[in-house]
Amino acid sequence: MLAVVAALGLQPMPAAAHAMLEHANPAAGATVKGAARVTLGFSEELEPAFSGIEVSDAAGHDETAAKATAAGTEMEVRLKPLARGSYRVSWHAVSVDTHRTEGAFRFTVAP
Amino acid sequence: MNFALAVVRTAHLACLMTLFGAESMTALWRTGHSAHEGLPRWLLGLLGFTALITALLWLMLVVEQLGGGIAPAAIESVTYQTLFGRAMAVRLVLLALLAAATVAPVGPSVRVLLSGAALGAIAVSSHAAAAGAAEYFFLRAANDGLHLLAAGFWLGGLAVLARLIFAHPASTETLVASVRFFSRLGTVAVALLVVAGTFNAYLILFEGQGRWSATYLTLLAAKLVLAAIMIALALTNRLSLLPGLARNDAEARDSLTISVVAELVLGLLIVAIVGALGLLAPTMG
Repeated sequence: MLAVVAALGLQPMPAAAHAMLEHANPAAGATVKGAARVTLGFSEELEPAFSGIEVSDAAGHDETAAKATAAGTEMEVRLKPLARGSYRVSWHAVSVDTHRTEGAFRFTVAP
Repeated sequence: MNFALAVVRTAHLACLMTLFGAESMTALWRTGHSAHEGLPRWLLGLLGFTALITALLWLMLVVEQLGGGIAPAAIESVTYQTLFGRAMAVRLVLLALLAAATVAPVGPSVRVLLSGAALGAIAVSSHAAAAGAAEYFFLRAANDGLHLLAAGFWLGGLAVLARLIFAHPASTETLVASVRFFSRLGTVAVALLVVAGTFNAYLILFEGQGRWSATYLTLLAAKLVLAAIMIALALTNRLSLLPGLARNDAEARDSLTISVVAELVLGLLIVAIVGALGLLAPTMG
């Protein structure tokens, strides 16, 4: 029995994707006139204490105005006023089945 | 996949399911028959304490996985701020009481209630429970819990039969009565297992998004094949071997021995697969 588990553990496994990102606002790759917040929707309910969003500008400065909040399958973070430019959103999500997923995408602000 | 976590989950499930099933069979038998030689107390104690220790290890490994280190603050954070942690805290209390109940002078019904509650509660943080709309969460968790309990009854019942055959050779009359009894209840357990399991598979595979993981599907298929073989063996026991055993056919007794052992081994292999399945993503982004 343990040999079966060992064999499974030695196989290359696909990246876990339990709480998958289903939609984002601003969307990945979008160009927007402005953004007061970033809202992400996932496929599973999240554990708020272990999930988060970071938003940074091209120079890597933090553009979030507060800590991200999560409720149900949605997570969002308020932003500081954004200037024209490209921004990177990095997120990590832990679903109620304790599995962690993470990802990143960019959007552009062009008033 | 976290190999250590898969091993710990497997050991935990195997011990808890066996204990629950064995004591369920013993308790149900006693409602209509004389005292039944279930699993010996020392084995119940071993199963109970191993279930408790592996549950603690399970919690620690998840804490490490989520936070990168095991520290009191991290343990507290996971325990109180995640659904898994809160469920595990309740389970640890149940498992501690269960371990005590394996050495205390209490009847099997107490152990059935404690082990059943601890086993069913695993479903709260399962793939099946998490898949789908929030308003139906407890319905999905209840279904998965039922699946676990039915599987536990089957596995533990087989362990009791194995004991009757090997360690405490029973008279043919007792063995026939026990196999017949288990067979009747086992039919109900298998039916519940199949229905609940089918619903679980639907939720996990069709409520999520993204393409299916080949690894997950392969393991699920392996689980189903092994389960089908177990059902075939169980049917053979009931329809062919049991009548032979009742006629005191020595060949039937030998065949039953092989069949029960084979079912037990297959059941434990399935538990090993389940130990890993719970850590894999059913679908990929």
